[in-house]
Amino acid sequence: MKAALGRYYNVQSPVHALDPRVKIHLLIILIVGAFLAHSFMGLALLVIVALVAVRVSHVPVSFVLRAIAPFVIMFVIPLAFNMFFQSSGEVLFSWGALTLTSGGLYNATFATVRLVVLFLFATLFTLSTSPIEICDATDYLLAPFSRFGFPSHEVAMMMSIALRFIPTLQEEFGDIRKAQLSRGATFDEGGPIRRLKGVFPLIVPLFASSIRHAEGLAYAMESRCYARGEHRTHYHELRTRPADWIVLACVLVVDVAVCFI
Amino acid sequence: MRIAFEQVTHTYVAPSFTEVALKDLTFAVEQGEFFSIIGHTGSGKSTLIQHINGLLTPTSGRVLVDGEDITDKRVRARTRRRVGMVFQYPEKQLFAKTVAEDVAFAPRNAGLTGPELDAAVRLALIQVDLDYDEFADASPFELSGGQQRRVALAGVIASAPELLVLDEPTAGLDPISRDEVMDIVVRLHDEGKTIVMVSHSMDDVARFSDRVLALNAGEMLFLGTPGEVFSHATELRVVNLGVPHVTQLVNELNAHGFALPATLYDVEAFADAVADELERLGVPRRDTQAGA
Repeated sequence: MKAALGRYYNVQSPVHALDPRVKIHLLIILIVGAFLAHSFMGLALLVIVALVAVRVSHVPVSFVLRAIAPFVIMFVIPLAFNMFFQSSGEVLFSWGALTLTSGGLYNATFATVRLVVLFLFATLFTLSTSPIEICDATDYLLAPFSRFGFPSHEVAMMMSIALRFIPTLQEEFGDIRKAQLSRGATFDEGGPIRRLKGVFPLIVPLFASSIRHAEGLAYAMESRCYARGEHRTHYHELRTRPADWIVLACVLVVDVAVCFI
Repeated sequence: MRIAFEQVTHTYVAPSFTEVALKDLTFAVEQGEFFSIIGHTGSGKSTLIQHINGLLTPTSGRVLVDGEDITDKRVRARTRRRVGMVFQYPEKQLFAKTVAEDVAFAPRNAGLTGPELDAAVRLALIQVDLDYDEFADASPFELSGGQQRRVALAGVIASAPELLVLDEPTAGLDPISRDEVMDIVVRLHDEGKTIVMVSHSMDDVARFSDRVLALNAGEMLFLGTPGEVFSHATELRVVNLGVPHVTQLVNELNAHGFALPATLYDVEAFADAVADELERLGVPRRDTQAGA
């Protein structure tokens, strides 16, 4: 099954409607908050914020869980390490070299919950923000650096073009694969050398067609007078509305609260 | 080889949607036949042809290859070797450094080596009218569009398939290249290969096919000889399908008082019928040879 991470869940909701620039700031603030938290109460507060955000976003909980599922291993391994290799407090039980202490259990759980919270916020961000919005927001947020010669607009444009072509290339990859299968190609048989060789009939045509696409796109952009520069306007102007400021303020308050409880 | 579809239904299932692409199709492509499939975009043509060599399998119903079910892994593997697939814009599949190497891909996968492999490559290039000495060592990426198409075609027929599936083989080509490609296809059919062709060119379909299958929204609309299928001009128009130019002309003449058979689609027969009809209407027949 395809991983849901990084995918956009297209519905209308207050979370989707937030200004993507504000959402990037929210994400950063909440991540900082998760690292500043030093008590379970503080973390619980962030968990509540995350749950409320998921609820308001109209993204089904099952979808969010599916997005996080591939990373369970990243939660479990640190959990195990922290549990058994930190010792403080009283011994709960011991078995051979493994000793579980109350302090270890506390720290392990704390670290894992923190990790889950981080992933929840990051996932909700990509689920509720379309790739185009992310690019536009990046464009704005990087704009100040263009003063120092950083091609912020070009980077954003490249990002959005790359995103735009992912489905196209996926489809083409499928076509090429079918064509080569029909010519008797095998991709999942034989030793590593044979498998590696089997990749060429897929990758070379894909590269060739990417170059064709790039060329075609370059002509299309040039014939529509695309020119680089900071003075380009946007078809979809990003707007920061009062609601954005209110959410931003609330999240800042949460962060401060997390630091003190 | 004979490919039989028995009540084949195919449904695409994705997380966000399901779509019935083929509905209850029953028909067979006979050994040695030139079988064409017509249908508007999205009518299920591409889905259908992928069932012929088991790239897709039916959601319900069966596809039988010489009586054996293609869902069987061994039957499928054998069928892949006996069926050649020329997808839309097949030049997209070119990958090797030289034309000869690319053409050798399929026969090598089929187990040919050494002089046998070389012979297969040479034969395939002859079959697509490309001179071996001139093209064998050329890079496929530096050829013209029409030549690339022919190299890709050679890359499929090099493994000597008995049945050749062509998905719009002339799409995007200039008129001369189109004729060249159709000539090759017709010659392959004359040499005994069974042909299944998807095409938007009703003239090509009418001219070369033994039978035509018209699809609409995954369902069989008509199946029969070109004459039979194209006699339903009105119904075909409804589903955005045209008829050959000759048939179109016949229908227009009939609207103005002629009584030509609606099954006409080829130029020679049309000319004869018009001459007879003019005679019937009392127009004196002149010697066309001398007049021209």
